[in-house]
Amino acid sequence: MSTAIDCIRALCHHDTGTSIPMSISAADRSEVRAESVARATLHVAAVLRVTLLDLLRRPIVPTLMYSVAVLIAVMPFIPFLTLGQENRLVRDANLSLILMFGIALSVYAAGTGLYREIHRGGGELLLSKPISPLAFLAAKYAGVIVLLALFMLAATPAFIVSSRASRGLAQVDWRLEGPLLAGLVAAPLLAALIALCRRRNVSQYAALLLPAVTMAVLAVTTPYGHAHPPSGEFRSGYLLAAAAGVGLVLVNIAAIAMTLSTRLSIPVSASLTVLALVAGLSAGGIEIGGLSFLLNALVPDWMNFWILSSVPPASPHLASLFLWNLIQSFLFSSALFILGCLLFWNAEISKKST
Amino acid sequence: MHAVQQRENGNRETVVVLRDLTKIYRDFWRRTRIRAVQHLSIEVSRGEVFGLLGPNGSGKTTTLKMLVGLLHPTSGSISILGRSPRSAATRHLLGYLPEESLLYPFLSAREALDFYGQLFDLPAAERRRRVDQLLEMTGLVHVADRPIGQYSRGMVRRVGLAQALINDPDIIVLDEPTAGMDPLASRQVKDILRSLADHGRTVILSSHLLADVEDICDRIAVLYNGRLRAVGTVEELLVHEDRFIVSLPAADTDLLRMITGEIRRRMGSEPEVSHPRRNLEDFFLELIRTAKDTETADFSGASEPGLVAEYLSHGEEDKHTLPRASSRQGNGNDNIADPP
Repeated sequence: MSTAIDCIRALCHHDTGTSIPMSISAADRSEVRAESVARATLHVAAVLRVTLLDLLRRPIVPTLMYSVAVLIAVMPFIPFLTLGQENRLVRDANLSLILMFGIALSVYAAGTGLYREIHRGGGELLLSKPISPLAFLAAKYAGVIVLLALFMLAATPAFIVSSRASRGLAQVDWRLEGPLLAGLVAAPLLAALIALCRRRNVSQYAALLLPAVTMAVLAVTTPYGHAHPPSGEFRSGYLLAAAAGVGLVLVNIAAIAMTLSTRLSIPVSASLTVLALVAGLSAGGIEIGGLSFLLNALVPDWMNFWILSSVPPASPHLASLFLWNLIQSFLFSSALFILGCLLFWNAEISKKST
Repeated sequence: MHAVQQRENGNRETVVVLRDLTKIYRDFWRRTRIRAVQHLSIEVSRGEVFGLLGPNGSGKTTTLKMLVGLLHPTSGSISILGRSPRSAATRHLLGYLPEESLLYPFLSAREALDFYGQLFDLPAAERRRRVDQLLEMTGLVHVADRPIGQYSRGMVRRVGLAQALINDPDIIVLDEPTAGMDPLASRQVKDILRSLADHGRTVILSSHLLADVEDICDRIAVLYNGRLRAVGTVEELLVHEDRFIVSLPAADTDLLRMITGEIRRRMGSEPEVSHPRRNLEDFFLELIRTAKDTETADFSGASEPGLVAEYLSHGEEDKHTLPRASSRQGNGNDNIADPP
């Protein structure tokens, strides 16, 4: 542990040239320290902003974000077509969609934002500037986490509305939920029109998802007009907790992908990330005691996160389970970040083919 | 070591010292893969344009990357103004243009330059001013808000050069700065670099374009297979001390016959008589300038060397007025003299 702390300390003060001489007063020392922290924070903010812009402006990212919202939006039609009681199925399928697209987004963002950046992209240029490796790495992790937050912001309201609408189209309050679907359709069309007029990339339509998301949030939070208000496992709060569970899994998956991407190429880190997902999902079901213990020690049991959508709404364990998942997720991601720092420490920044 | 290494070299302060530098790339099992640089020792003085010349794989890029702290030497040392190249303080003084302009393709030139300005802690107003000046200097004003991904390679190189100058660096490290540029843009970039050196900035560049290096470098080092093969001024390396060229205005054949006969009689060897030639670059630039004067086409690139001087004169003021990083203190940086 002390090695890790030494490494982090070394990264923080990594040849920054800001080591504080012992001869100056304590007040001056704290002022210099505060100034250096403020400068590092500004660096992190600047790199985070550019990472986010760079990712959002790549066509694949808004496409993934948009696709999941559209797919979720059409899910309510499944029970209508099958004439059955597939409400649960729709809800779980929605969560699965969020998980699958979220993993794809995490792996892509980690690979592009870190590995490609270091070995093929602007990292070489960036790290020739006076920015510490720790600030660079922290900004990259934060950028991907913020991207995932945006992804969840787009997907969650669609998931909630879709899951509630699956109880029957007759119960859908089209006055409120209609604009969501209309917004999802209108957003890319409007973006294409703007791109045509301003000769810019269509990829920037990610920003235009915002009206659709806003309308979805309105739809979720406003009471129903004529339909029966949703109850039990279709209450907004309950569905939100289920989506948050998936969101936590995605944060951990992104942290795994980012840490691996500090050293490994995109295909290798993507494969190992999926392996970690499978290991975490199957850890609880493996009968061999030693192996199960080992897997659980390495990766969290993802079923604990997923199970949030299966706990009865009235269960007193719902809140505590969510809290435990939150803590576990934070600790796991933090440990991965420290591991990432260790791997990145003293790394040479250059194209792989020298 | 904070004291600036003061070594007199033609009355100039030595700002970059490479001592017995070796870089070995190893594979996963730590076996030697490539010896990229071997026992390289070079010194570069302030205000000098220093060129690293060599074929592909000769170690130029590796040397430059070690110089900016991206790669670590296997052995030997690098000192930039008496500091390690890996210190943030040193990086405040450096501008770097990589071999490939690794810029974010989805940012516009203006956004990219502003971003790099932020990493040097420049205030917003100052960043705006510098970005505008650099865009004008590199002839990119009319495309400043378009994503860099839509630029031609030459335009991307110009953004790359602009970002390398955003902090008004003392030492500018450029890897193939004119790669992918047309002769006109290449000439303009060379003029900018020459002007920077005339204003006391040190420029270290690598190239395998021999004409470019010969054109602007004060001194050159020739690398091959990671080893230094020759170093010196262009004059020292290229001039044949034992031969002379006498250039005459149009002379009649009788006069020529008399001169060559006299040389033959005195020296016993046959002199070469031919018409002098312009080089292709001069011929091309003259054609383009004529076309430009007659057709009033859009002229991209740094149209006036005065723009560089203007940018740098602001930079000189900034050194006293801006809240620059502590790295500026005590590095012997204040004694940059403008050329007469």
